[in-house]
Amino acid sequence: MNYRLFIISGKGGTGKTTLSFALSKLLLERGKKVQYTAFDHEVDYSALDELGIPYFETTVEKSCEKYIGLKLKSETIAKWIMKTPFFSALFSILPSLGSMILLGHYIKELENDPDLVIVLDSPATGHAKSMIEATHNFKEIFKAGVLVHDIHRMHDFLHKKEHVKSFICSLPTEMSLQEAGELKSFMMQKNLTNTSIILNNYIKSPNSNMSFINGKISSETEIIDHFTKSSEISQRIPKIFSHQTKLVVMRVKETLEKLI
Amino acid sequence: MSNFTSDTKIEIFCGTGGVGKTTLATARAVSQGKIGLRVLLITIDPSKRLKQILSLDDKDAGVKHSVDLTNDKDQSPIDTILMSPTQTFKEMKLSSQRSNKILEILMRPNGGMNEIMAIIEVQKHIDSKLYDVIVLDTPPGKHFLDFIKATQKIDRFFDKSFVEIFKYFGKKFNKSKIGFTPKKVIGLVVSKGLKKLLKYLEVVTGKEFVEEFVDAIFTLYENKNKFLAALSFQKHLENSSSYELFLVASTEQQKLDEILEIQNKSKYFSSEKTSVLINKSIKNKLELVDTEKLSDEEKNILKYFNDLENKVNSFSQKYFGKFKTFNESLSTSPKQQVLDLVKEWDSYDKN
Repeated sequence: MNYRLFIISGKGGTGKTTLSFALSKLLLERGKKVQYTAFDHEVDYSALDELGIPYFETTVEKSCEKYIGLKLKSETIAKWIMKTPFFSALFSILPSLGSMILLGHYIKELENDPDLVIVLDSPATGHAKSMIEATHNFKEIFKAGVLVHDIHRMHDFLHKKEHVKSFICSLPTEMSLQEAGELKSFMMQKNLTNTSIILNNYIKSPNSNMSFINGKISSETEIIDHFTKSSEISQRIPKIFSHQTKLVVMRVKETLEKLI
Repeated sequence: MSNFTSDTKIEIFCGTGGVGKTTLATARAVSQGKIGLRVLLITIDPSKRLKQILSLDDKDAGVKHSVDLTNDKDQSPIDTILMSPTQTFKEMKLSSQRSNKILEILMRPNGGMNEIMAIIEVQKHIDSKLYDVIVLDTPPGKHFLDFIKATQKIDRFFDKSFVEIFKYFGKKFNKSKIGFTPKKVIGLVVSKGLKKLLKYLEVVTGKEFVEEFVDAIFTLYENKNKFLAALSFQKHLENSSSYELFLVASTEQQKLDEILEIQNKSKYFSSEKTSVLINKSIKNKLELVDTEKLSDEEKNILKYFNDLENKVNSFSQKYFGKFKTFNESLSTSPKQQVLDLVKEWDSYDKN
């Protein structure tokens, strides 16, 4: 398992962050040089510190400034450009431009350091699609210039099977699994072919004396059976009945260990 | 019920992903329709099955569809729209003969303009005065804030950035509108001191882009009033009688600090117009469990679920005056889930 970039996506609330933490932990244990990143959403630094997971810290603004500085060979000019009302408004009205540059920044880091592995705790489905599609859209928009050259390089990296592994998290509900299936076909279309669906948080328990649990189990089983037939689910992680992040992450990591 | 609606009420559903915003919002719309109100439901990216139930399809996103979920002859159906930036943009009917590739690409469903176009769409239906209530399902979490900030973004974009460029040649442009070409504009801009900025842009993006880009900006500027019309949405939100905000949490998927963050950052909303909806509660089922027969493992599981219920309840009591709990539906069918929630909504306004 020598992937360089792991993308963890799926519907909101399906356990993307927990899975990203667990995967980072597992890779660290296997001696990889790992950095976790939460893309443009808020990072739970205290949990990362508690788990001892190194993270890649940047923001869209910082990445853009760095990128433009690199291209124009001057950080001062880049700072000036980003501060002009015109550019700051441009980036705020076109969030996808910023997210593309951010994704480009990760790939650049991966190219510069052949030992580095990045675990990308991606935004939920809709915004994950925007993030991935941005490279394609801007490739069409920019026909020349250094940016289009860099987009080609990004694509070259992303489309190598041995570089990128994507996991789509799903809960055992119909809506979540449907969405996971849709996201998977979207990613396949965008040449991210190494994508699999992980069923997370299903209740693994024999029949219980508590009828509400049995009710949950039977509706989950019905849905899982339906989706297993269409062979969408590649891996399963059972629900951990605890509220302590560290404990849950370590338990998920143990399951992952057997899976990948 | 009068045929003329003086002020459309907006009901905004927001919260983190996966808590059931779309399902709850759909149920709310159906319940409002049941009492004879004219309802429009605007959803943002519902799941495939829910789309089927609402007779929506990606192909006709952005187009109104009438939906009758209750199969009740006495009840008029509700209108639903699946938000599509492409369609909203098309319907703005920009006054430009040129089609601009940059704008077309950005208005695609995943082009990143969803939040801004959603505000424009909503405002259009407020102005139409066809509805008593618009039920609005918003993007999850932080993207809801983007949605709310979209009016400011539109304002800022036209105010500051365009002024910077257009003040250089605004008068000339107005006089000779017909003879304008992107090249001419670049000529004007360059001669007026923005040369450096555009030169830098050219290095990064290529010359062809700069031309197309100036053209895109020009098209937007020519039509700025159509975008600025969306700013009245903000005014709509300043009038507390015309909206209600529902922050959706779910018992299993809490992320309560995110709810507080949304509440703190969306300063337009008065606290008396804000309620928390606790979805997927199983409290009534937990109370029925006979604890004496349980094994240690089962006791642990029961405690896990009880803790969740207690946590979300005390959170809601502490930070919000108004909250309502919705029981989890055990049905695996999204349609039945909606119908189960409709029943719970029916009692909401009576309290």
